[in-house]
Amino acid sequence: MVTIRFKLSDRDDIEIPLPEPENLGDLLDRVSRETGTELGGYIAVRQGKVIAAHTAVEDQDVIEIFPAISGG
Amino acid sequence: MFSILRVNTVTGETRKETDNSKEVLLGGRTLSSRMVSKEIPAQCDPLGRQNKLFFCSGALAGTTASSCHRLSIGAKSPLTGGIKESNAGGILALRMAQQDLRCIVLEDAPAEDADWKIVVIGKDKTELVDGSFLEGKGVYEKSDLLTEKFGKRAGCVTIGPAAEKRLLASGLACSDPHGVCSRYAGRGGLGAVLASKRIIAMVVLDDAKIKPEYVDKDSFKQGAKKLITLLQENPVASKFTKYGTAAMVDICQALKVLPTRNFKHGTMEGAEKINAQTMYDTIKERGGEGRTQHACMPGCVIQCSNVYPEKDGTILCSPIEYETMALMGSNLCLTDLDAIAVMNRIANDAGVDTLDCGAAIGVAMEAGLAEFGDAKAAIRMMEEIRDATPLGRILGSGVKLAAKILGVRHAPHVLGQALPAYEPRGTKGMAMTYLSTPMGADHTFGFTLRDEEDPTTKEGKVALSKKFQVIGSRMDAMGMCNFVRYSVRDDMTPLLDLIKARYDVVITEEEFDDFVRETLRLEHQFNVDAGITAADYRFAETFYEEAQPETGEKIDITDAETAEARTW
Repeated sequence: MVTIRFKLSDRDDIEIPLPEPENLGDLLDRVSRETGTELGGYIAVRQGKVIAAHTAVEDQDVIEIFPAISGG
Repeated sequence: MFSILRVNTVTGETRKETDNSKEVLLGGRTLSSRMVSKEIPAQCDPLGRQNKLFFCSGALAGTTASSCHRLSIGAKSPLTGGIKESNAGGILALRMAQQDLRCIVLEDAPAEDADWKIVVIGKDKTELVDGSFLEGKGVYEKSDLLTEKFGKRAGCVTIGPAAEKRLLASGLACSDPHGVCSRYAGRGGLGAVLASKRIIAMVVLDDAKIKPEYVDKDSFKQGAKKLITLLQENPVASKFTKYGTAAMVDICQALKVLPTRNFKHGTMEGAEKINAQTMYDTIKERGGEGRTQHACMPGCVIQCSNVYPEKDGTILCSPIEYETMALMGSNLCLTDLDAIAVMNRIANDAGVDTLDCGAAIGVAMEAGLAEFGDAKAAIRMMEEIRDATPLGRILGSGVKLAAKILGVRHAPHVLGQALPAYEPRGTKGMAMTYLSTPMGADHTFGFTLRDEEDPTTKEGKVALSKKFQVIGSRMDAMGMCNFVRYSVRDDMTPLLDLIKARYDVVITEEEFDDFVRETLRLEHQFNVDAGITAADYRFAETFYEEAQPETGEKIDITDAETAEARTW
């Protein structure tokens, strides 16, 4: 299972079975399609490090998804 | 034709000029920085008579378009010694548009002991009137007195007691939609520039109400609706509506770039006590006058601002932004939102930048004047700034000066302006931006954080920073709120179509970005002419020598790389 935690969001965490590694961008596209929601810009963090859309996500990973906003 | 009103602060003489160039049409930073470059001798004393203040509204000011009433204020900065554009929300840009003014210029400066004056601009005349009744008063009281005298709907800009003492971290406070001068053009010491002209306030009366003429009213209406839809449906922009910029606390904590303990660390234990969710819950729980959503300017649908209430529901402070939560919160190891709100309120009343003062208190704590985490001491230091005690004057003059006087090497600034929001060793993209903005460390453009695949490497960050310096500067370039950029990042035509419908002037995306790049080039040239060198675009040496504990990173960016990032 991969756990996706949507931070600063009303969305619940989701757990996705992931038998094979998959890149983050594809995984999140799939989540968006299945839930019918648009994610928009995001910052993804795994174990305190930013990961890019092409990074492979593996079983047991916990990914925090933050909206990519800024200060002002 | 667009009007530029010039006011001589010595003689009270006024002169109106007209100009129909595209630079003046765009207004905002496009106009203010061009006028600073053209009219102010770069090597002049920023508090002398050769400096000028330019107040510029944007291309869509006065219209019904959302988020179009940012006011750009330009001058030579006494804090950085270079060019400055600082912008604010509020109602002043709208009132200027209703008086058919794109720009107001305050020129010259009287003797240092001249009486304080107020510039009053109305449909029939512009005059300098006695302002002595405002002297020495806090911004909140000044705001009340201005409202009493000129009406709640007048657009005002005033200064606090810190600017009256010419403290370098003093800002300009502009009227919000409720008539309270709480919207700050806080950075760069522009409050001291206004004070140097013995102007204690400027008021644009609500007596003209000139309505904009649209070349194609229907198209404009449709375009304005489209912009609202884009803003409301954009998943990122919509986050601002609920949490405002405070959402950055969690993001920066997760990325290990939350300024902590005088920028020594990138995470703070207990950060969740001052994050967006805690602020949101606190405001909701206390109710009363508290607001989790609040528009800083008329007609804005983003409404990212907030009103933070006291425990009894009365207003304590509005707004509290992420950068203040970082600089007056985590940077001082404070985990008490109420304490941050009290400090913010004192800063607003004293008329000083929360960021430069927060950073200055950070170095004061490092110097041993108080313990990190001591909220009472931090509030007391803010009171000293407001009361202009000797220590308060040092802290109110910004972090660079404070660090020198207090013997602290780890001074978080570039060009004398405090690092505003992100610990730079953990985000080399933001570090590159800080080291290459003409304004001194500036967080409002060149925001790379979301697009850094590896924030701790400098590879590719020159190009990334430059890309976002352009994207981030677009909104300033025409007087729009910076947060509109999320909805037009890949396609500026919704805004350019509004310009076409309003004025029948075509500006292509390419031409618009050329204006943005030319503005940056002019700003950097001003700094060169002012005597600022490559050696000034550096962090304190400690950022290059000492690793940030959480990431193990040091600053490894070279002068050659920052020079490339400043080349346009």
